Amino acid sequence: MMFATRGGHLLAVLALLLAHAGVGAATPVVPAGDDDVADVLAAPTVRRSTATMTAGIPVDTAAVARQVRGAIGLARQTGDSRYWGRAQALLHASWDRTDAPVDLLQLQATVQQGRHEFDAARRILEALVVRAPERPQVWLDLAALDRLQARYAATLRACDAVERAGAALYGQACRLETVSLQGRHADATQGLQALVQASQDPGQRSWLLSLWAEALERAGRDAPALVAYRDSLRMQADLYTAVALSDLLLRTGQLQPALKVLQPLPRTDAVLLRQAAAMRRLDDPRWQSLRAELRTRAEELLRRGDDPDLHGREAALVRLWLDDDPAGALVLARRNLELQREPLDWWLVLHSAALAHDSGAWAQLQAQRKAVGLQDRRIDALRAPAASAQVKVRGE
Amino acid sequence: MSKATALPSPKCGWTVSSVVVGLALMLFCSVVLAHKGSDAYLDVRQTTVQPDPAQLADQRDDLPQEYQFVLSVALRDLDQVVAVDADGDARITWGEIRAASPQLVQLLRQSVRLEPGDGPSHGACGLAWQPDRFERRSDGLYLRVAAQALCPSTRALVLRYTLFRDQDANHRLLVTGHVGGADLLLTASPQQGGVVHLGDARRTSSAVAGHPGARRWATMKDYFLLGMHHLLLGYDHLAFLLALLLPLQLRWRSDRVNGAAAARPASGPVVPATAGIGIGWQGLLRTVTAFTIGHSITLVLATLGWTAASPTWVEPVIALSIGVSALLNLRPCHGCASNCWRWVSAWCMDMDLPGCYRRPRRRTGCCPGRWRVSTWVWRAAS
Repeated sequence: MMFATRGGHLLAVLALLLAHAGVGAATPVVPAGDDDVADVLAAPTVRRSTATMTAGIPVDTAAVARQVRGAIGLARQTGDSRYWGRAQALLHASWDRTDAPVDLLQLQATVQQGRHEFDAARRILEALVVRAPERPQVWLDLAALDRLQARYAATLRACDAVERAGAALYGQACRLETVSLQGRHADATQGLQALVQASQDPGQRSWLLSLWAEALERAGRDAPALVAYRDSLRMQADLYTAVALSDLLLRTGQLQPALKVLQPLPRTDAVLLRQAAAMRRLDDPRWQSLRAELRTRAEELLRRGDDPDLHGREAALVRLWLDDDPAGALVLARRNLELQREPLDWWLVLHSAALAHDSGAWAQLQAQRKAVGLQDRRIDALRAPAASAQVKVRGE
Repeated sequence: MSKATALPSPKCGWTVSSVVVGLALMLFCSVVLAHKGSDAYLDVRQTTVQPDPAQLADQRDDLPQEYQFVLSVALRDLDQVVAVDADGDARITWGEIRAASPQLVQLLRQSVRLEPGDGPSHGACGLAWQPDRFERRSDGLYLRVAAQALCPSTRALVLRYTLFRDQDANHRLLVTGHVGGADLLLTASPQQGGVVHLGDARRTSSAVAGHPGARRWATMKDYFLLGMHHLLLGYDHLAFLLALLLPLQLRWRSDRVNGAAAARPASGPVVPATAGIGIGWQGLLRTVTAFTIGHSITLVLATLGWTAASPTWVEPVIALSIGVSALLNLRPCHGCASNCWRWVSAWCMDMDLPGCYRRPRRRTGCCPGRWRVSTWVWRAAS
């Protein structure tokens, strides 16, 4: 191996230190010709409309809502947090005002959910479903929040309300996704398959295919899940589905295909982390540069005053996959579980407990999982902590 | 599980592999995008004005203090207020930036102001931002502007920052620097009032008044740190250092002979018991010294205005010197020629942008001796 010599080690460290010094630094740029492109934006900038205000509420609600949705879309597509900030600025006049238009408050909750400010989003949505029970989008957002926090009974009630509000297909999809999480795998996968086959709209079909793929994975059917993910992305590419597909590929040891899926994606923390995990398992030294970049980003978040607990899932995965620190991962994963309780969060905390040989934590967490009712074959496959020597983690 | 293809084994052994890995890592680092929100970066440095002897005798403590400000703001953020992307095609060209520059500077002058004490800024204690350069960070292209301010030392330095207050609820100003003898590390939000207390110069002023020796050491320390900061800022600096350092083999003579029976090799003398550092350190010292001397000479020439090199040819020469140095590592020219080239390229590397030599600035009335010390220390550090 090229770094086997002592000199090689020294220079490898030097190269990495210098590379790390470059990460996060500013590089001088010399201006070029007038027609040369200096920078590329995610989309043309939409500047704030100068709407007249009446008692602090903008009169052109539709225009503001359109701009906010655009910013939210960019935030989701690019993973660039500045767009959440722009969306919030657009909602400045209506932010936290109980008498603001429902559409704008619903978008406020979406921004807060996007930034993992779940308690704040819940307060808004719970007030809105009382104020406007006929709005299916509000119920759908509340259902998504309840599902994320493993409150499945409340989720099913919200799904029923979506159907009562007139969005039958979305209500059914909402319910099927939830029962899949509760272990009714056959009902969920068959139901979602039927919805996929009945849908004609490409965007809607892509979304339903991704739900079906996730349900198939939870049912332990990886091969058809893989096909469904790929079909979904072929119809309409989206960051969330691509990352979910990469997780399946990583979990099943298909590392090069995982890297191929991740390569064209925006370089969010979630993407970099998975790339690093795959590269590490392939003995590709580039993973260390990505690790350094993730460290720099975490420092930047602290530097600017952001709450690190809102990024706990990625932080715990980094400890587990890249730092070989299951004990540290367990601490972060338990804290993350207080914020969000999706299957990946349960898998993360239980796998960390197993690798950290923490039988007490394992038993406690399994009891919690049983109490909330999550059933997932991927998590069922995890083995209880071994009493023998430490298991080496390499992004698995 | 499949294994990645190993890097090719080069003729020169691990040296080239490390260079390839290091450079690949550095290039890779340059293309990642940021996950963080919108940030602007402000650096504030106090560069004390040396009072004349008459003022020292009065022991006055309201002597003016000079501050250097450097502010970097992302163009994609500025585009929210000033239409930099004039044709709205999401591709910002250099022509569009040039056309928007006057408005951008005006925006920054309005949104990033100095308010010493209780009133608005006036006279020399204000921020007349001027374009400095462009720089690329993890999330895109930034406009960097600079300003100097001369402010009374008895007044607290207060910055009012309102940039993007209405455009981005999550924007932050990250402040670093050195004021009043203390390091700065602050974060400010325009939504939360936008007032940033940068400290005051009274501590430094009273500490150095009437003590020429203390001023000299304080200045040396400031410029040493400034030089280190300058070194770490540039990829070209780091790449060049890597190209110079990699071929030098830092060998320690075997210390197994120390205290044990010396093993007589098949030929040649016995290695002395007093082991020492191999010749590689001498080569390193010569190279670094050549670099420092050359850099200092060109700094003096540029600062005194005797030369004004254009970036148009300077930048390619810098890149070429780095590239040739790296190439010589791949294809060493045995004998003194490659070493000579390294010294020459270290010399040539110093033909840096004139803008980089604005620190330390020349100031009328500044003690020439102290300025000379500052220059040499800064260059030695960088």
